[in-house]
Amino acid sequence: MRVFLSGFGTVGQGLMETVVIKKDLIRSLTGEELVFAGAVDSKTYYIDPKEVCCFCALGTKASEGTVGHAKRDGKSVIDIMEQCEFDVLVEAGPTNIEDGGEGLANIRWALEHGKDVVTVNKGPLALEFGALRKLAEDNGCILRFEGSVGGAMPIINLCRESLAGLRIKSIQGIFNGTCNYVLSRMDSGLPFEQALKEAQQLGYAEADPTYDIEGYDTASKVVILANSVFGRDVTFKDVNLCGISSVTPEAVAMAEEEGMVIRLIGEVSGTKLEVSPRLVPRNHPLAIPGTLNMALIDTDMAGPITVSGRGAGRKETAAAILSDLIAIARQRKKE
Amino acid sequence: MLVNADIYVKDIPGQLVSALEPMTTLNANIIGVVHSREQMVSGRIAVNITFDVDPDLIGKLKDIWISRDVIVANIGSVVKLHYLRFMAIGGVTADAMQSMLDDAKAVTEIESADIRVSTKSAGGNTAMVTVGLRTPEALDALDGFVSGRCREAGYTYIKGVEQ
Repeated sequence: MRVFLSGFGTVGQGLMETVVIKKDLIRSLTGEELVFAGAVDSKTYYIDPKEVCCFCALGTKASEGTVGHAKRDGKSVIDIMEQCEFDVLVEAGPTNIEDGGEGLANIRWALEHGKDVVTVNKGPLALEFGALRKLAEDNGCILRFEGSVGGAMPIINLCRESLAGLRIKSIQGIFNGTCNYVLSRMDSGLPFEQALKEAQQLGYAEADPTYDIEGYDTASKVVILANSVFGRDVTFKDVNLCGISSVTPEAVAMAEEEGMVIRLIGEVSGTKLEVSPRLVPRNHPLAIPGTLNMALIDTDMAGPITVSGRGAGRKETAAAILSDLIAIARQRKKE
Repeated sequence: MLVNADIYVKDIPGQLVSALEPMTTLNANIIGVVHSREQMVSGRIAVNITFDVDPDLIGKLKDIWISRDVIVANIGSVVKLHYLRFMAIGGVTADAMQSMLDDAKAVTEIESADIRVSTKSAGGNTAMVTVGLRTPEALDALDGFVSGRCREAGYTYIKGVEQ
């Protein structure tokens, strides 16, 4: 299997490292080698008709801050993909929630050209899920995106494959570790600004935390769940959205007096599509502190099913991408 | 049907058993019994019983109790309430919350309401409100109404995760 990697940030590098480390395991699971045909970051690219040297790419990134030596010089990722022979595009570029950005164009091009796609880039899925799914179907391609929601926490494939046959009534979850960290520090009496600053110092929050704190990240994820698990046709704009920046220490203290905490909860069902701070009883599964992600899946036959895991991180998200790549390799082998 | 009854039995051994025994005969499921010796009236003890029973058999149960010299002070169905608990953040006053709930009565029937407003003022006062409603549909209607009114008023609306 030849993979083209778009995006060589934390996740892209994590994937390449994982593929090197798990080379033998991947071969034993799929019966074939997984190699990179090309990789691209914001400034440079590295393609090879045989295979990219992972050690070289990772070494160049460490020493020079770029994946390769060939400068993009205005070349789009599509221009570079056109020069490559590959089977699967892994889209791990930056999320653009306004118009999908280059990631959306890359995924469209790949599907139009018969390539399977694994994406952890949420923007294209939150904005154009229906169109991308149809494009994949029309071209006989596989589109997988487990790592786009909850990082290493299995949820999409769990709902669509392991829980197939059950009716999923709703999913409520904590899908943003940054918000959960800030709110759980506020449980200890810290004001919002101080808790956020602490999260930034620890690397849990970006310098501009708007995307996380105002709930846009969680909203993207509930849209992906609504479309992929509930078969809905919704976009980011359909989410009833409220972030956590207006949660005061006083509100947290009042909740505490009633035996509750405040958490940013994403909720999706056949009719609901909502992201907002919610009052959560202290003994409820969704009252977890820290940066973990957690989802409560309410089903007709099995009742509530709870899953949790690390929602972000180099190896964690790489693990989700790898599971999708292995699933694609196995499916293609059966055909 | 879930029923709650206040009865008085004579303060002599065997009377409580004599009052409960016909309930078993009528296939009633006893959920709770509160037997209070502090509430003695004319040599009788107050007993509060909550039980689940076929509504057609309530009359028969009353007749049996009366025949056994049990005084039935009160008997009626228990309404299970559904609670909408929410918080409103940002310059909230108790009057504003009360006014919002008064207006909500045009949308749905409210059985009970408890409003608690913080006294601190940093970041604006916060209200914690618990409203009892008869049906899940009434709860959804009130949720929609209150969330809309909070949005209009510029309050941050935080409802319970189980609603």
